[in-house]
Amino acid sequence: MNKTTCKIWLLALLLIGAPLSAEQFEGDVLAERVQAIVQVSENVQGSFTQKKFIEVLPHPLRSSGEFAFSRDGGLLWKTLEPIASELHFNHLGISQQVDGETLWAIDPNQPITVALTQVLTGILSSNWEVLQEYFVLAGSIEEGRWSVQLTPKELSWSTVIDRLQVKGGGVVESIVMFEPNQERTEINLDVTYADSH
Amino acid sequence: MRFEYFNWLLSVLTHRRAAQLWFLCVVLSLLSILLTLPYKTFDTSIMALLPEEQSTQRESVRLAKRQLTDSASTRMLFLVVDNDRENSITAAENFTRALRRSELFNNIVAEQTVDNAVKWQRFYHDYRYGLLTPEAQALLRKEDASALVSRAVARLYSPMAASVAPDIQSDPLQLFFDWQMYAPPKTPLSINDNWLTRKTKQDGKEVYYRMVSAELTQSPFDMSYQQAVFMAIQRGKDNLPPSSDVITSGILKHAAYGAELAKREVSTIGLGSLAGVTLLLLYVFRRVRYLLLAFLPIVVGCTFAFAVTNAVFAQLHIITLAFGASLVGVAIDYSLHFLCAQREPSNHYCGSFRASARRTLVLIFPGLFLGLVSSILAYAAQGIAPFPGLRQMALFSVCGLLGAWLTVVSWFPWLPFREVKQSENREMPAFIIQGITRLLLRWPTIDVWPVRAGLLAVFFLAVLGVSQIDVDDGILRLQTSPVELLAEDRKIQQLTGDISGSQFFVISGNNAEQVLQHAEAFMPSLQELVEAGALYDFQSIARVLPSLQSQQQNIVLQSEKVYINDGLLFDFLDAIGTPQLLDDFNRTFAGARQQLLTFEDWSQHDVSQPLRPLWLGEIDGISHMIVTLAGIEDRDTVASLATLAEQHAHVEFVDNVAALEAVLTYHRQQFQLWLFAAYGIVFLILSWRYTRQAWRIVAAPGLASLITLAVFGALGIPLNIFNLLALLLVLGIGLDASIFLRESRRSPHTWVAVTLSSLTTVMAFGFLALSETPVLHQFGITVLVSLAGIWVLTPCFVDKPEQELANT
Repeated sequence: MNKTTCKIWLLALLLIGAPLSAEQFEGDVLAERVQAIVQVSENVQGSFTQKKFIEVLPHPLRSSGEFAFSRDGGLLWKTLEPIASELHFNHLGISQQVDGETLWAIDPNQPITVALTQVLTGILSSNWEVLQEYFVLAGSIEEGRWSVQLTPKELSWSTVIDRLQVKGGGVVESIVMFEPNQERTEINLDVTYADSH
Repeated sequence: MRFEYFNWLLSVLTHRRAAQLWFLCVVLSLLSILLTLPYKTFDTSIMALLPEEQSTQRESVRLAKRQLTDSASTRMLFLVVDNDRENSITAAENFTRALRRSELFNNIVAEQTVDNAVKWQRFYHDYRYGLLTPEAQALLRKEDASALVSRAVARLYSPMAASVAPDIQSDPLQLFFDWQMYAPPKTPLSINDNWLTRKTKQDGKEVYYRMVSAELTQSPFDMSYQQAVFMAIQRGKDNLPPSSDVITSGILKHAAYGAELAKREVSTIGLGSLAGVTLLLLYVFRRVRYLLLAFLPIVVGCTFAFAVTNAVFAQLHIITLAFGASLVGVAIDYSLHFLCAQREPSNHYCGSFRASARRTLVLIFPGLFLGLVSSILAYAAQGIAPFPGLRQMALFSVCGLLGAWLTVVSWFPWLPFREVKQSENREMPAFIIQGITRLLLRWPTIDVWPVRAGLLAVFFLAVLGVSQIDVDDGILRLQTSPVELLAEDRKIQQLTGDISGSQFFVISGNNAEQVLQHAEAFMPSLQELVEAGALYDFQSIARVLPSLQSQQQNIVLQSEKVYINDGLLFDFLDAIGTPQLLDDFNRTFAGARQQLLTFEDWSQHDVSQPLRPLWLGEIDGISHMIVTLAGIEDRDTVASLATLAEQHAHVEFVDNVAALEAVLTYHRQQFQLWLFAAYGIVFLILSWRYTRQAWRIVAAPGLASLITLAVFGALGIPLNIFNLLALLLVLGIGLDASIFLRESRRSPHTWVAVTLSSLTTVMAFGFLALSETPVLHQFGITVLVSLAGIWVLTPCFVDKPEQELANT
């Protein structure tokens, strides 16, 4: 193959590839672009379904329920199926209630608390500025739909979260948490209310 | 004392051999100072000033205190602060680099690596079945422990699953996870951007404090090391972004400040007194030669004192040096009396200097001797209480006075001065003598009834004032470090939730296992205080290392309640739809259940490093460990902590602050008695020489002291032990004036000497009153007010032989 043929092939490849691949972004630019599509919300509500894949279990653990986030009150994660339980993520830490009784609580300074609270509230309220503080962002945007991969900056978090894959359009639609031991948690969200400001 | 004794003593001391011997002594002192001074360190800690450990205190408590002090004094803590996140990271990195590059520190802990957390988790993972939170233990002991299952299942179905249940097979009910959350000490710091960080809000903006800690490689009291450390810190600060700052805490900072303060105080007090005394002497004696005569004893006295103190104590305390500097104004008295007496008309001051010196010494020796004895007793009394700093100060002062006195007595008769001509006899301005004579003649004395009535009124008023006086034995008032340094420490403590070194528990037992059991029995009560908010947290080895007994119980609990066929594990697996995994999971437990974490395994592993200083080991066959406390809410909490210790066997509460204050109170009360006793003893001794007139000698210092106390009472200045010690000093120094005036039968020359010596002493203590060191300030102000009173009152009490006065 001579030089000219090579160039033509390359050009052809680029021309074919261009409309197929979404635009790739990183960091600030990505955060800005995503932010432009999905607004930061102070109140978000909706329902979820979750699948947790665990290596030793023959099938994923499925659960579903509702969630509600408000900037002042924090996040309420209400599992309805298969067992009813409520998790509150706020400035007091994380607490868990089953049948109205607090079964478990963890104070706000535990690294785990900080990590989970920041991740979930950041994603649900689409606050990419906050997420960028804790994660390295990389992803793509195509026709109003976006997909972002978040890798923790904090070394201590990497024992819990390997990386996150978040997807959505006007609202957040799914979160996949990849864990270091090859396990993963998939959460699909159906946002029914989100204010914008 | 009879005159023969005085004459005999004088002849011994003025012998050529005595002068030579004293010269040898001084040369040796000088040599020893020159040889050892470069290696000397200066102690500035307030603790050194405070009473030594009580002999009743147990060895374990003493060791605990030392261990906590040692680990605190070799550590420095830095918080690099900025309200911009990126800047704060850059700043912390630059600062840490500067510290590392200086090679002055060990073990610099800065940016966090994932290693520690992973290492920790890995180490404990093998022992996990023996590790349960008290809450889990309580739930497992209940008949119905299903709550454990529902919470584990609920967490597994939540987005928390990744962190809570990283390994479902080895920790299905997440009990090990719970324990990992429970065991480490609570801290307001969190890991942020891989730095141990405290985030606060200021005016709605986030402020980032990044923590860096470092261990010192040398003593924090070593002055050259201090300098090097400060330069390294400064270099670190120079490299920071302009918006960043560093706040520091550590003993070294206080020690360096103290050393700086010592230098400053020694120069203000020392040079100030020197300058004042020089001017005064030049004014009165008008010859540089007399300056030499006046200062020689001081220089010799201080050299001798420094050498002796240096030899006796390993570290010199700032108090000693500053107080030593004030000795200038007291030690000069002997020369002053000598110089003034030399000018007595009756002394026929002319001819050979040596002959005149001898004549003068014969004349003033009884006064000089009694003056020395009373001053030495007063200064030595400062060393009665078991306060190391005061003992050093007392030794320095006693040696300084003795040295100055010996120089006057044994060297002056041998000084190679030329003959004094008759024409030089009246160097002292005539108006001073005339003025003083006139003043003395008119001075009201107690022998006239209106003065007697007046003094009586003053006495009653003073007693009234004294009854108003408050006492304050708090150690905070004695703190040498300036408010800014203490505020910086407090800020760091608040931000990092640092542990208190002054209140803690010591737990004992026959061996490590028993100590841990006792600590476990004690922990629930402490936890209650934490939950009630009275205490932020406590640090106990028992939290990260349960006793073997407790680990065994935990394993038994789990094997009876969780890992059996129809136990909680089955309920759990059933709830998540995989009951078929029961055997697999049970096997995992069976394989690992025998693993118990022993004290030896723990203490030899890196994970134990942060808490290792809390283990005191064996003392006289009994093992001990410390439980430290963080964020004690108030005095009420301290009281409840003390009560808790009383309710638990093998637990002792140590409250350093309270203990020190109790010791201060005790010694203050002792010194009140001592002061009365001192007056009584002095009175008895003086009665020997002055028979029924002895009261006239002690009346002036006594009344002046009362007036000083009354002034304090009226001004609302609370009294502490140091004021009382100063009053003891007042007695010693104040007696001199009365003794000399009495011995000289109110000779105007003596009154000039007394006035001069009062002025020099007032000057010295006046400068001491300006001291930034609270203890020195209290000494200074007390002595200052009292001496002024003594100068006014002394002539009132010394009887007036009219005839002799008229002759002068």
